[in-house]
Amino acid sequence: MTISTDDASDDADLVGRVRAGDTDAYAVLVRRHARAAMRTATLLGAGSDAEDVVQEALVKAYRSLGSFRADRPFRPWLLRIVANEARNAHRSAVRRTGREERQARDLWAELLDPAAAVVDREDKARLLAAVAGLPDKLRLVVACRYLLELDEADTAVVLGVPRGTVKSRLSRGLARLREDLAATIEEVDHA
Amino acid sequence: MPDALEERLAALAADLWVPVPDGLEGAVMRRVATARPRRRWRRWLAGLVAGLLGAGVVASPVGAEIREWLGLPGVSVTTGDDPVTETPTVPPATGSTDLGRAADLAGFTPVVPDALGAPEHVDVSRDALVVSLSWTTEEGTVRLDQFRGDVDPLFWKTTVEADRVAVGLHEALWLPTAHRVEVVAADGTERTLPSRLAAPTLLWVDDDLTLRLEGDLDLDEATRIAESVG
Repeated sequence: MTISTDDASDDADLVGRVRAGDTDAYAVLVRRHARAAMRTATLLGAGSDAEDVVQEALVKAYRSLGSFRADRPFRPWLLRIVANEARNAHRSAVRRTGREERQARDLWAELLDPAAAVVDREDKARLLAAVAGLPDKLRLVVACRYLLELDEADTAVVLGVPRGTVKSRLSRGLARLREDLAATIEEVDHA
Repeated sequence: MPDALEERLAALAADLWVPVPDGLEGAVMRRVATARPRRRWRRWLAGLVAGLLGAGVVASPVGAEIREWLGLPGVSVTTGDDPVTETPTVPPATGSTDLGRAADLAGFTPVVPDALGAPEHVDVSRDALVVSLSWTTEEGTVRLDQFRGDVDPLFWKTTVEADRVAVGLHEALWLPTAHRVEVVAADGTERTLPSRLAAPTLLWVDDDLTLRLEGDLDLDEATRIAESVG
């Protein structure tokens, strides 16, 4: 699945209509961005609470539309609210047991469409596990940039960090992934 | 030019499957049906302007539109024009004042977050209003400014985004992105420090102290540090 880039002016029109009191226009925005929102919540830490997180974020976004700057793209702004909610949900679950931690990892493994014929499934599962195992900061930028297919500027908006930080964390994240993947391959070879 | 790993990640993205729950849209629309989008900041704007006139504060960042007033003593937050894209540098404190001496000078006991331990440097501002502590961490310099909350705004912040968060039971303000900050002298007329670019900052109030934690931190880390203030 690819997150398509919506025509920003369409979103702006819809936002204008919602602000003018046309609540139904918000349903169109919800429908249009629900997939990206669910992915963002899932990949940025909401785990199995993704549905609740997205619902909460969409309601908050609606309530905050009065302070949204209409000349900015809507999607990164919305995903930022989703990301904040996801992190709050993650934080409240922070004292998780080891078993729950493993369940969270398993949840990542299930992201690989279980029903579909995925080419190189094992290889992809290993890559996904390596991303899941990155330290939080690095995992978030790698997930935004590659798994959510956001560019660096939008990644910076969604995570609320300076663009330079996105760049440096991305390069550290990729370097770390290379190391980790090389290590797993060695383990397999020596087994 | 994407390398092999980047290509593999892009291919992985195409195979991830996160379904949109059937009831999501309906649930959201039922909840929003009852409320119009809030425009509360307009009322805050009126309140803040009145407050500033009352306090006789004349200094104001030029061209800035006041967006939120959280009631954080000594801090003003206004909207900026464009998001800042350069990376800010957090200035460390430079003094070797010890905490006891700082307390004598400033007239309050500075708080130290357990999560950071003893500060490397401690400064007291020339007007003795602000105590600044700094540490060197994995994320670079982390700085904590603190002052008694009964002063007029000292820190003028211009930002594109400010989120209300919680530190313990207290309301706090999180400025997640790089933003401009000016420090104004207590009489409101003179800038005591040049305008500079600040890193992500968490602002909160602990008893009668206003605290301002700045560093390349995410909200979780900043909150963890803030909540470790004993």
